[in-house]
Amino acid sequence: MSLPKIARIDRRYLYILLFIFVSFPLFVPLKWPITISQHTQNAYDFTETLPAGSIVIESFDFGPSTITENRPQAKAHIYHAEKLGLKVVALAYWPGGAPIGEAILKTVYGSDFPNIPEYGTSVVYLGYVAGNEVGMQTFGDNTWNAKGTDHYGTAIGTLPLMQQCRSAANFSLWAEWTSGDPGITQVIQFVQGRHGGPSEVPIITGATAVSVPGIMPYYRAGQIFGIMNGLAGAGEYETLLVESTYGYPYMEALALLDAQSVGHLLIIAFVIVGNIGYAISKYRGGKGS
Amino acid sequence: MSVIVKRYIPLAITFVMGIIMVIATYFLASGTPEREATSLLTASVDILVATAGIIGLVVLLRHHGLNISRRGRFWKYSIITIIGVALYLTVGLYAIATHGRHLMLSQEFFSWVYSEIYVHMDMTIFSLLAFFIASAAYRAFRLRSIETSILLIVGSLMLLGRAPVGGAIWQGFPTIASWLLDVPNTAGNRAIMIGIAIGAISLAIRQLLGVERGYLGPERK
Repeated sequence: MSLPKIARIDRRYLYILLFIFVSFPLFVPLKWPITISQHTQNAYDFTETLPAGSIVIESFDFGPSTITENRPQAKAHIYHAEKLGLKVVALAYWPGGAPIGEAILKTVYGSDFPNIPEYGTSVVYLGYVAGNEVGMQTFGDNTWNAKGTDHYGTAIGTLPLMQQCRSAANFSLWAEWTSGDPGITQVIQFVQGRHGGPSEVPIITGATAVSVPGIMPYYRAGQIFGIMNGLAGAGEYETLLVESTYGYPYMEALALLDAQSVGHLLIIAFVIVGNIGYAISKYRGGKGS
Repeated sequence: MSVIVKRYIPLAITFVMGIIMVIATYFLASGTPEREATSLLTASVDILVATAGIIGLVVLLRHHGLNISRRGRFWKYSIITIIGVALYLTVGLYAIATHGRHLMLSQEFFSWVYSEIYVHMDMTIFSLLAFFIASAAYRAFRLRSIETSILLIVGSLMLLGRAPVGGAIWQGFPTIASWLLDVPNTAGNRAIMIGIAIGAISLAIRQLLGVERGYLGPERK
């Protein structure tokens, strides 16, 4: 087959090629080394600086469509927080994020969650908090006004951890796991912006790779302390945990990064071959589309 | 209905509420009783959101019901939509009946329908993007001009820099990708953000002053 013809190949062949190439590393891990970006390193380092007992907000603001990127980010950070002895108040401003968040907590704290001794003192799950950015603002202004009960129907006033968590002044860190709105931009505008800025409400985030370029100005301005950039960022955080004294048993992102690498290589190969075919067609006076 | 009820009262409500929020945000200190009062006001948005949810359900059922009765475009999919809504609503109502509380409470069957059906369907649809991107990269990502050439080179550098294989080939790829994100991307996005913010402020002022009335619906003479 000549190159101009290859440029006009039936797209179904491309789909089959992509399927085969992406599937291969899932069965035979290639284990390419992970380079830690400064964005992820900063998120890890800031979490490390928090003293045991600090209150961390973990907000699951994503849906099933981006679960592959956001779930490993949130899971790795909550695991880290648990190992550091931080107190976790978890919630979701996306209705679809609430069941996913609960599943993550069950993975980290055990399948009996919330029926565990530390529930209510070291960890609380509020579940879905309604109102989007208004819900975020209310939660930052007066936590108890945002939601009366936790995910399981217990009045939050009866939970010892929530006695200490009354407004943004009590948050030592807001960890935002996001793939859209409401998400990191709204936390900055409606929580951090209303309560003294980055020094009073530090934020780290894990965002989908496609949305990270849009939040980089906040990071460069110092409003976000660290970013996990998509699946790669989650893999970097998992690597940092594995190399630390905590260890990390889940390895969700690291298992998928080889497949992502192969997918990226294949797309670059497609671009090169497509352009060679296009150039030859153009040279011969064809359309080359 | 008089123009006072349809136009002037909503405009007055918008103005008063807007001014209260401006004062609360810029002039009231955090933790003061006045600020707490405005916090309660914003919390009441939940009531409006819940009402909008019910309206959304009614509109959806009406739209797809009419489509089925008229045998409109893709009317068979409308049947699936209504069955899906009815089934999940039934499961949710069952959750209320058994728990006596709202839908998002941890009710096993409700969670199961979400986790084992909806999550997988949504993930499947989203994952199809990979195939479209591959096809688009092959067919549309062409070196047609200087601009597309720059886009292609930068895109390829990002693809290599943001996956482990890039670092395995050459350690410079991740560094270049980080620089692209941190510097040129930030500069461009910052400009867009500032433009959007200025536009949003001017729109807010126009709405507060009643100049912009599009949110009230079409004006009938």
